[in-house]
Amino acid sequence: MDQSQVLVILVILFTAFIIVGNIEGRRRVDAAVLRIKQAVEKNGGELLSVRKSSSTALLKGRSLGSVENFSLLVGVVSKVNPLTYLAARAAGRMDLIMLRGALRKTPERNIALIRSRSHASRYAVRWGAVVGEINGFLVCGEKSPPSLNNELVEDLKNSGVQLVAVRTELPHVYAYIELGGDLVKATKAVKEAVEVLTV
Amino acid sequence: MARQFDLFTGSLLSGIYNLLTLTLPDGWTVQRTRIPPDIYYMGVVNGKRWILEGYAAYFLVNVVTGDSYELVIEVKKLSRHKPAEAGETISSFAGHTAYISQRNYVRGVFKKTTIKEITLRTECEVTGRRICINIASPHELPAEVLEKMRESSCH
Repeated sequence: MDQSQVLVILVILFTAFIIVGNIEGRRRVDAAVLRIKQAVEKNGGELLSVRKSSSTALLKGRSLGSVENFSLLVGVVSKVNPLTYLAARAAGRMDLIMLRGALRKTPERNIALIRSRSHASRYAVRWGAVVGEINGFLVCGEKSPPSLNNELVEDLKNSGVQLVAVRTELPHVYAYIELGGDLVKATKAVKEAVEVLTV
Repeated sequence: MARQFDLFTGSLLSGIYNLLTLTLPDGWTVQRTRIPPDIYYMGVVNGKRWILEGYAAYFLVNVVTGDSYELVIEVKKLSRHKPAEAGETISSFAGHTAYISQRNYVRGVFKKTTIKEITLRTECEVTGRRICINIASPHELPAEVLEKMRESSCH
């Protein structure tokens, strides 16, 4: 095979990846949005709008427990470029949902629960000093760790929640949820954790 | 609670030059775009370095809802006072009189989107600049943002 043939094959391969990656990405985003819609509605939340692309989606909503307004940013690792896909996978990136919300009442302290050895735990210091650990979750914040029941911590762990944080400034609530987990259970666990952390 | 954002640009050779300090309500932020600022004239007024002519593009982002707004700030040298035009409402910005106009236009070829554009223009006699702030987005800009922006600083 000479150089020109290799070049043609590479061009065809990358074009195929772009087309297939886009179609596949849109399907994954559509499926994720559908699952999130069900999870939010089953937990009493209301979705107002959805915007989608081939690798991300932004859902806006209101009234999810004590969270008044919220947005859910869905990010799937794109397969459009095989090299960036491999690099993203090697770096530990995964399909993730990022919830940001505003509470009705401004919380009085900053506190975050971050699952140990997760992607989010690499940046735990951003959420404050580590003040304790509860069943595999690092507690970062200003004061002593809150008392959490084991059932809630287990639910957070089993449903793929990487981080739940409550802050004194907007957005009051942050949550990172793995897309592969049980989203109904994860949404319920995040909702309950926010209520416990704001006390 | 308000947050202040210093909008500036510069280089290793010329140093930092300021555009203005934008005040936004809590829950809002300013993000950079891929469009680099274009600066034509810089100068020193009252010991502070200012961009006297040029423009810069940013994104104004609501960190809770994720809504983003295109923010373009253009400054020109002030030559003569430009009175209010038809359709402009009079407000204030950084202690100066400001004129605000709004319009809607459709963007896109196949997927048409209605864009709501707000233009705020003011004249800063201290730095000798005409400042034009343009905010465009398919989303409605909450009134509290414009209200808080009045507390910004341009000199």
